[in-house]
Amino acid sequence: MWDHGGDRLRVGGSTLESLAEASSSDAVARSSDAHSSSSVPADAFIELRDIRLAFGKRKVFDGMSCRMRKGEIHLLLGGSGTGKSTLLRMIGGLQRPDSGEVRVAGHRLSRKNERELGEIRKGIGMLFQNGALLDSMTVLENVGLPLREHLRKSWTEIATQVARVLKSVGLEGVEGLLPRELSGGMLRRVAFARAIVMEPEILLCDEPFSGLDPINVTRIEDLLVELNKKLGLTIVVTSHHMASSLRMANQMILLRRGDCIAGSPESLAASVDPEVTEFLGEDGRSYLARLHELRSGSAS
Amino acid sequence: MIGLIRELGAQVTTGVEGLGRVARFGGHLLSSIPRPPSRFGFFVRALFDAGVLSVALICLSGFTVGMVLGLQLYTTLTRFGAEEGLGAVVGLSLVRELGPVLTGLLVTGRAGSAITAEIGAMKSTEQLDGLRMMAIDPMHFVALPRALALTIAMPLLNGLFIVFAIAGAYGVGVWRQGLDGGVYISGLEDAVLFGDDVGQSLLKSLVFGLLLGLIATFKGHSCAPDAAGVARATTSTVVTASVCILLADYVITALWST
Repeated sequence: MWDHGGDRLRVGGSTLESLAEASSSDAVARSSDAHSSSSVPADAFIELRDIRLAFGKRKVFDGMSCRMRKGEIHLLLGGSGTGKSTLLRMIGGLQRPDSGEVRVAGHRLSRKNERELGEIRKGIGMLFQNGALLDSMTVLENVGLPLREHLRKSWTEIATQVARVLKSVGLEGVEGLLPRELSGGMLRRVAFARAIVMEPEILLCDEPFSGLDPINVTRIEDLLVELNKKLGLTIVVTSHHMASSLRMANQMILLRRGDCIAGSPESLAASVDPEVTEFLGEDGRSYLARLHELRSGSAS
Repeated sequence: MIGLIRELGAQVTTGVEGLGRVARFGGHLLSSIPRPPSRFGFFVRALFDAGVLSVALICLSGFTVGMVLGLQLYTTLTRFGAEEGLGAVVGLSLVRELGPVLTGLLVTGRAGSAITAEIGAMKSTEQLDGLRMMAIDPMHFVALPRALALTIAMPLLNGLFIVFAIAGAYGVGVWRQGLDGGVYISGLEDAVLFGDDVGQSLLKSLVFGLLLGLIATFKGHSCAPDAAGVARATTSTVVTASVCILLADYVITALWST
């Protein structure tokens, strides 16, 4: 389904990691970002260290730390208000923590200015909860905007590429429509198409399945898995759609009371922590157990 | 007493912080002018929204202000037997003061508030964050074309306002009150100097456009991302820009006179 035609963007020809190397070699002594000149450990492609963040008196994160391995799908779980969307925004550099460190491919985001963050963001795609499409632009212009801005492609080339990406999310012939002319599910799929059109290295998805019918849930799930397998994308997903999320996740991160519990789906299913068992519920745990059996069966 | 001083200090600090934020925003806006890519298409669209869509309002307002001015001034001048001076008085008051100030206030109410509301709505629906995540600077993409459009549209609309106001005053003075048309026009021609009066008018409207562009885009960018926040920012744009226009009018007039 996903044919990238060999023109995959890697932040202007380099990867996020090589961008880290370049930026730090410019200022070896100047910054402790020189840290990032060493190769980024695979198990800490995205790393949050001792994060603290409060909105007014409400503490969202209180010393939360977690690591995300490169090329895996990470599922953020947690009740409403536990900071799932905020965590995604921090990884995208849209939200700075009060204290602590967010590292993406070796970059310390809190030390970057907006221009430097822009360079890093070229390697990150983000699907916002409400789509965040520009409402004065058509679907073609919305999805093609990053291609136009960063790759300077002609509108003919953009139209071809946009049509291909839209087809991969199950949409055809909607290029000329404005966002207000789309249904909620179509809007989310257009937003998803925009997030992946540049073929980023990291994909942040805030509730990618909400508002979708079962066919399109499966379609988006398959697409996420395919992007992860074929292009090695590191994907971070928040979702309340347990079945799809559990099926594809390599790591689950359960946010709770300012902190988190992270582990493989199997390890969390086996956890006796009352909050984990309560959150997953009996259905989630038995689903994970079945999934584990299926995976071990297919492996053997 | 100490509480009062503390409160006053806090207000002053907030005010200075606010000014600093506006200055930083303005600096960012200015520095992004030469940065590629060109936003000419967005600029033209913004110029259409701020300028072309304000034309009817400006023409109608200009014409009615001119009519009122013609009527009032003719009656007053007649008392002193100086009705021949109608063209000169109308021309000078419109070109120097009423044209730029009233155009500024009208454009603030129509286009300035609309720009704040539009940018505020974009912020509350995460469209600006969406742009950031695509490594596109919202300041360059959204604010700059709109601020420039207001700066360019203001002098053009000011010219239109003045022309229609002069026509309105002519209609009342000549057709209704019976003043000679030639006297009205020649009085106007003799009184209004291009360099001094028209230059001052253009400078004022350019400054008002710049101020409005800065205030409208800043308020939109800095509003709270919810419906109430957008509403507050829109109102604040109209109030702040109107006061700034009146203050700037005084400053420019005072500096020009010295």
